Amino acid sequence: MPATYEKIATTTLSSTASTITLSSIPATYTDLVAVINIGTDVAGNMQVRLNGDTGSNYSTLTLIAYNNTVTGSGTYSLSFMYAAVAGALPLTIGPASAILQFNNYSNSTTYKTMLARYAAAGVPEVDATVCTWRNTAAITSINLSSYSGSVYLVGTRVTLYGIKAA
Amino acid sequence: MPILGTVASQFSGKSFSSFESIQTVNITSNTATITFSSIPATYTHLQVRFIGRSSNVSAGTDNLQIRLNSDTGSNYAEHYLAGDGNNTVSASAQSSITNLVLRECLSRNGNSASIFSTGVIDFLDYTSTNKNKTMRALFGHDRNGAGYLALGSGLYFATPAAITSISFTVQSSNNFVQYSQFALYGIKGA
Repeated sequence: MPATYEKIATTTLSSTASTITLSSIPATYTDLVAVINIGTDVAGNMQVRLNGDTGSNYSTLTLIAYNNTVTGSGTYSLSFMYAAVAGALPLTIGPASAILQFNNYSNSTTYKTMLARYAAAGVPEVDATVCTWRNTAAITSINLSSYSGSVYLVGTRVTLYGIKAA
Repeated sequence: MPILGTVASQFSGKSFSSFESIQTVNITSNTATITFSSIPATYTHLQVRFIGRSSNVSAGTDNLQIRLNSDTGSNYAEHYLAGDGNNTVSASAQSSITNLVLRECLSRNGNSASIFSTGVIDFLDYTSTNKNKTMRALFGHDRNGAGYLALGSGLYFATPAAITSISFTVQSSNNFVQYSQFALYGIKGA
C-alpha cells in the first residue's frame, strides 16, 4: 500500500514574526495536520485564520485544564479560531505544543473544522479545542497569528503534513 | 507542488512510509453501518479519521457506536471527559456495554446545515493476542459556540484476539448522512 502521510512544509523561525502563513496548500490530500512548537514574547492566544478570512465566521468550543481546575467554554462570531486558549509562551518558560487536525479539508460541501490539542507545561495548562469555520470552501491557506501584537520567537517551528486516504 | 507561503519555505515533500491508508468509506446516501473488515495484521497500530453527521432530524448530538470483530456481547467499557460550550465539564464511565461509545459524537441533521463532527480514533497494538484492546479518541463538533468536545477511551475485554474488523453505527438506528467519511489507516512499528 502507498505511503500516505507526507510533509508539505516546515518553517523554523530564524527571526521573530507576528504571523506564520502556510499558503497554496494543495487539495491533493484528505486531511491536514499541523504540528506546532511555538514561543512568543508575551503569553496569549494562538489564533488561526483560514484562507485569509478576517470576518466573524469562526466559533470555538474548548476544554481547559489549568492548574487544578477544569473548565469549558464556547465562543461564537469570532474573527479567528483558538488553537490554544492560554496560547504560546516565552521560550524561557517553555514552548507550547499543539497539534491541529483539519479533516476532509478540501471538500466543498461542509463547514471546515479544526480539532486541536495543546499543552503548555510552563503555565501549566492543557487544552482541547474544536472550531468551526462557517465556510464550505476548501482550505488553501492557514494563518497563525500571535496574540495582541506579540511575536513568535526564534526557534518556533510549524510543520504541515498531508494525509491521503485510499 | 508549490512552495508554501512566504515563511513556510522549507518545502520537503517527504513521505512517511510507516503510515498507510487501508480503506476509506465515503457516504453518498443514508447508511446505517460503516464497516472495515479483513483488516490486515501487518501494522502495529490503527487510526480512524472521520467527519460524520447523523440523519436524526432533531437538533443536538448522537452517540457513535463502535463494535470490534462483530462482537455484540457486553464486552466493552468506555470513559470520557467532555464539554458542551458551557462552563460545565462532565465525565462519566460505563462498563459491560455492548459496544464502544463516543458520547454525543455526531452532529445531527437537525442542526445547521454543513456542520459535521470530526475526530481521530486510535487502536494501539491491535494485533496483540495477549492483551485486551483499548481505544482512545478526540472528537467533537462546534455549532457556533455550542456542541460537544470530548476525550474518550474504550476497552474491549472479551478476548485478547487481534482486531480484524471495526464497525460504526449511530445510536437509535439513525444513519450516517451523505458526505460523512471514515478513513482507516495502519501505522507500522520499527
